[in-house]
Amino acid sequence: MVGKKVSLKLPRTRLLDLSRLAGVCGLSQGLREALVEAARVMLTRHRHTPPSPGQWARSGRSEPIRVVWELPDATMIESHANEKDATEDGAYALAISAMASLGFRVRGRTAQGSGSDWWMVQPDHPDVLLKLEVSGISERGAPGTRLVQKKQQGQGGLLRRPGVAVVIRFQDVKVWSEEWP
Amino acid sequence: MSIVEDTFNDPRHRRSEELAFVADRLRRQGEHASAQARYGEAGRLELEVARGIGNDGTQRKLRSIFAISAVVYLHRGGLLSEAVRAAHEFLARPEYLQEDGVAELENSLDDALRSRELHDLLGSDVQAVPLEIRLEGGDVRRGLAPTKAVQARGGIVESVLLRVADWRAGHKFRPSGRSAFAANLSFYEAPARAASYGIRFFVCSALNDMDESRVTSGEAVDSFLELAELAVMDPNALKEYVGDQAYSQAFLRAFRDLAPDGSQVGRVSISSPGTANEGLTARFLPEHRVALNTSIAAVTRSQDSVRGVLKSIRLHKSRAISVEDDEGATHVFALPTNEHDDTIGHKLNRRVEVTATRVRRRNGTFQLVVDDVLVAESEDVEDAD
Repeated sequence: MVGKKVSLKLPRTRLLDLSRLAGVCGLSQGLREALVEAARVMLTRHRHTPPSPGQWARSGRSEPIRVVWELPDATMIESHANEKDATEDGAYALAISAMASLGFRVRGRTAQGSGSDWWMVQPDHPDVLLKLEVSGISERGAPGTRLVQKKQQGQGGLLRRPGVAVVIRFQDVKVWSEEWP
Repeated sequence: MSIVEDTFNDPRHRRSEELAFVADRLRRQGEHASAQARYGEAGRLELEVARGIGNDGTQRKLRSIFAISAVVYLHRGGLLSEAVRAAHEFLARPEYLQEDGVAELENSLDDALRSRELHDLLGSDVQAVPLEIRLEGGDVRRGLAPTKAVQARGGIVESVLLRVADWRAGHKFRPSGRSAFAANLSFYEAPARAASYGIRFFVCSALNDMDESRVTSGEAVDSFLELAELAVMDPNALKEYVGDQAYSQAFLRAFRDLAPDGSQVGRVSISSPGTANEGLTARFLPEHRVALNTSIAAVTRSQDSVRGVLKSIRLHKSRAISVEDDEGATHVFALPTNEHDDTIGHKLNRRVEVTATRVRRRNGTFQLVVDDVLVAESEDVEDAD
C-alpha cells in the first residue's frame, strides 16, 4: 500500500552572513570589521554559538533567519567591553547584512543635525538614496516601540528620504523592520 | 559606477567615516578633546568631498548631504568659524542644493553660530551641549507658541537636569535646596528656530574638568535623553533603571509635565541637535502623559479632584498646598515628602486641577495627599487620568 505523499513546505531560512559583509556594503575595511566584531561579541555575550537561528518580523510576517558568524577572540571581547557601544555597533552589522539579503547595499554614513544617517541604494537605482535607521537592544527592551521611534526618526528631519527602520535584539537573535515611503 | 558610488567611495569620505566612528566612541568615554580632534579632521575631509560634487540632478541631493555632514563635523570638532564659513559657502548657491537641504544647512549654521557666541563668552575650554524641547501641534505654530506652554516647560528643564546630574553622580536625593552641580553646570537659552517652536538651551561645563566626581554637561544631557526615552517607552522601565524611588518619581513627574496635554501642545520632542547623540530623540504624545500619571499615582486608591487657583505652597515643615475653588472655598492638600518640589513653583496663582488620595491618619481622620497638580487654564484640557 502506498501512503499518500504529503508535501511539507518549510519556510526558507534567510541567511545573514556576517563574514561576507565586504561584498555587500561599501564601508571601509576598518569600520566594517569593527561593526562585525561587535556583533560577534554581542552574540557570544548572549551565549549563542554559530550559526545562530533567529526570526525576522517584517511586513506583518515572521520568517526564520540564520546568522553566520565566527566566535570572537579575547582581544575582540575586551575591545568591545562597553555593552552600549557594542550593542549599537553590532546592530549596524546585522542590519547591513539583513538589508543586503533584500537587495539593498549600504553605501556609507554622514552626519546630520541630531546624529548620523546611514545611506543605502538598490542595484537597479544606484543614484536613489534611501535611509537606514538602526537600533540595537541587548535583551528585553521594547522592540515594537523602538521600531516606531526609529521609523519616526527616519521620516522626520528636514532631509526627507524613503527608507527602512531596523531593530536588532541580540538576546534571541530577532530582527524587526519596517519601511517608510 | 554611479555618482553616489563614486562619492561615497572617495577615500577622503571613507577616512572621515572612520574618524567620526572613533570620535563617537571617544566622546561617550568622556575623551572630549580626542573626540573633537577627530571630528574636526572628519569635517575638513568631508568639506573637500562636498566641494567636488556637481550641481545638477542627483548631485544636488548628494551635495546637500555632504555639505551638512561637513558643517556638523566641523561644529562637533570645535572648528566653529570653519563650520560657519562652510555653511555660508554652500548657502551662497542654494540652487545647487535641495530645498530641504538648504533648511537643514541653515539650522546647522544657526547651531554653529550659537556655539561660537558661547565660546566667545565663556572661553574655548567649555563644553556647550545643545538641548531642544520642540513643541508641535495644538495651539503651536511655526515660530509661535502659547507663552504658558513654553514657560511651564522651560522652567522645568534646568531643575531636572541638575537633579539628573545629582543622580548620575550617586548623590543622595535632595528634597530641596541647591544642587551640588549648580556651580559647574550653567544654562543659556537660545531663540527658537523659525521652522517650528523649540525651547533651546545650551548646557555648559568645563571641557576637561579633572574632578572625576563632577558630571559634565554632556553626561547630564546624555542621561537626561536616556531617561526621556525610557519615559516614552515604559515608565516602569525608567523606575527600574533609576533604582531610587525618590529620583524616579521626580523624573517621572518632570517628564509628565514636559509631555503635551493634547490641547495647547500636541507633541513634544526632546533632543540634542548638532551632537552625536544618535537615536536619542524622545517624542512625547498626550497618551504618554496619561501613562506617566498612571505610573506616578496609586490609581487603585480612592482619589479626589479639585479645580481652582493654587494660592499657596509650603515646602518645608507641614508640607502643603492650598487651592481656592470656583465657589471661593479653600482646600488644603498635604504634599508628600520629596515630591513636586521641582515642578510646582510655576503653578502658583494659576488655575490647576489637583488630584489627591485620601489617606487615613493614625488618629482615624483622613488627609488629602497630592498625587498630581495639572495646569488647567484651557477649558479643553483633558483629564490626565
